[in-house]
Amino acid sequence: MAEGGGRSNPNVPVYEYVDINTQVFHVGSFRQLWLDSLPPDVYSFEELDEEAQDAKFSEEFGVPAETLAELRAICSVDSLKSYPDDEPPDTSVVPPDPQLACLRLRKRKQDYKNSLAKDYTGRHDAYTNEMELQSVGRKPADADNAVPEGEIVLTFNIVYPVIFYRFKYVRPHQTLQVLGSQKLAELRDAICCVSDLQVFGEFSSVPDAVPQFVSKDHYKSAFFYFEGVFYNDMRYPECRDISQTTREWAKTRDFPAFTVAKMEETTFYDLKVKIGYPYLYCHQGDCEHVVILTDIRLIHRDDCRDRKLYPLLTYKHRVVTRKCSVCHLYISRWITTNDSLAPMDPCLFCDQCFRLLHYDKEGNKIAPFKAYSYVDPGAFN
Amino acid sequence: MEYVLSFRFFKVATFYFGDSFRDCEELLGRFQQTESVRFETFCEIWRDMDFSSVHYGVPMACEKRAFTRMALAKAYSYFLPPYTFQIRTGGLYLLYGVYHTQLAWPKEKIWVALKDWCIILQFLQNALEAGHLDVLYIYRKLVSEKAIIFTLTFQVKRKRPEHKECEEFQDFPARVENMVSSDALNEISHIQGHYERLKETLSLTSVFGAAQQNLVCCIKACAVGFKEWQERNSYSQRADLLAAIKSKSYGIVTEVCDYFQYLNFNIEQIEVSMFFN
Repeated sequence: MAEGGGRSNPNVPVYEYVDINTQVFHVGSFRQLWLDSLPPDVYSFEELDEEAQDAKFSEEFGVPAETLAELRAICSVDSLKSYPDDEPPDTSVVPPDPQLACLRLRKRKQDYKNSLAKDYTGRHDAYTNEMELQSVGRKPADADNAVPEGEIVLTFNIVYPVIFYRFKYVRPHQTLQVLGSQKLAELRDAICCVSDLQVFGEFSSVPDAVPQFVSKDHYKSAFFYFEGVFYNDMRYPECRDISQTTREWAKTRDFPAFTVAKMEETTFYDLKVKIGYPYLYCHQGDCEHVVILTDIRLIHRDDCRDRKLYPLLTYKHRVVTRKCSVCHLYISRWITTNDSLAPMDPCLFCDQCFRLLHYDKEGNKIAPFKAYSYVDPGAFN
Repeated sequence: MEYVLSFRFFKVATFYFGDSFRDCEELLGRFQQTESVRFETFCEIWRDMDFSSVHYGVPMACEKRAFTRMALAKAYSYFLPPYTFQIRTGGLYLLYGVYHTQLAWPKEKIWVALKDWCIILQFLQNALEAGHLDVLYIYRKLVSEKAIIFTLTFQVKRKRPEHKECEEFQDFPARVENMVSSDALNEISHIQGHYERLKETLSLTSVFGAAQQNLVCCIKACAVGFKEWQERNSYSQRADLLAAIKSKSYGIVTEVCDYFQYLNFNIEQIEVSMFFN
């Protein structure tokens, strides 16, 4: 695919490494280029009816009425049909004796599936489409919350941290769409990570006293790193600049100077980024997520147009939850160590099995052990 | 081109990789043989191949969507250079056909990149000047029906078996462009720099001279000169071809309409930058 007109304007994204990532560009300027290049009716949400479209075409290109009628007939979608109207084909199966190579391939897969005694639908597939359909074409009840025409939508993949060994290879992620006019802090708030829900403390003596505060309430500092700039979350008095350590370390090495900014004061229009290039989101001090901007485009009529729903979660990897070691039914809520009553160390329990096994009727511990609150990574499922 | 890269899309794209090429190439190959750019002719081949059935037999909604995305991406690639005008017209018709016969809902859109926008407008300008009203009508229909999403099209491609692009579809000027790309020139310049430094280190500067001093500039100048010569000649060849096809075009369009007022590009600049990638 050739690239035209790109090199002359630095805000037209072109590849830096082909099929890997683009060069740096300014998001706001990229939007302006599109808006300058397109007539407003092209990116508008309004659609003219067919007659109005044809009238406009006739007027713009000076096409006489007979020619327009001929064009309308020949270019109609019905011209593509190869079956009579009263005999529509069954689109759920591959037609018999297919000519097309794609269909022959699909038929082999279809025949194989039909030969199986059981055919399982992956849970990821079941959820993925459902999640996308939740927001398609959603409009706000209140006009103040309507996303305007010409707004930019950015799509970010936030990769899970490597909390399981296999996460190095499976690369599970969640996909969030944000509007160009939103602040980085809004994306930070929308990212779901299990490390934000951790409850610290040992509760074997007082199992009923597990506090309601989670790590997210205690450790509020976070930053995004994009193109040499650390965007810190400084909204609360407890927030600290956790990028300072990295920046000071970098000064002692042969690195270019990094700068800082506030994520609550920076919109996505202000960013200079590359598409496809891995950046960083760090929170809870050491929980690091790779962040990749995969796509940037003008908003479309069929997109979700309710501003309150953005950042919009469009895909999420579902983690298999770890069940209790005793009942294998309920999701684990406790993890014990140095526990002589448990079959392994550490061991996971659901709340009921944990209490039944470790405490007597009065609620006293019946053996020495240590117990910590466990939040399953599948908690966000 | 791009999209949000999901594992599902990648899996579907890899599964159909070679076969989707074969189907598209067969359709466009037959279209090329007709030496026409008429949509009517394209439709006859489409119906004969029953190309609408390419969407059939996909039970799951997310897979329908992923397949349609892949098919639109493939069709879009034929809509851009280095293919000939006729193949690019076939690519536009293929986009229209795949978009309207898809079974996914909501409909998968056609993703158009900013970097391709000037090229597309130039194509439409050529179609307008040659009087190919059906090309313009099809394009305007896609725009009016909101079938297009304006984006950066970007796709991370993982390692796949290489598919040899059909040479008969490609336009002539592209071959020199492919050989003398900016990457190749950078590499030559880098190697020459290395060679010169080596000579200096061994104090052999005045003795050896295996390569010209300004090799990269010479290659660039030759390539630009060749392209300009080709442009001059191919315009006359293309004018003859377009004139032949124009005899079958719709009516006569005497005025260049205001639709292209949003063209904000310099043709020369595009051609040179396209050439040097």
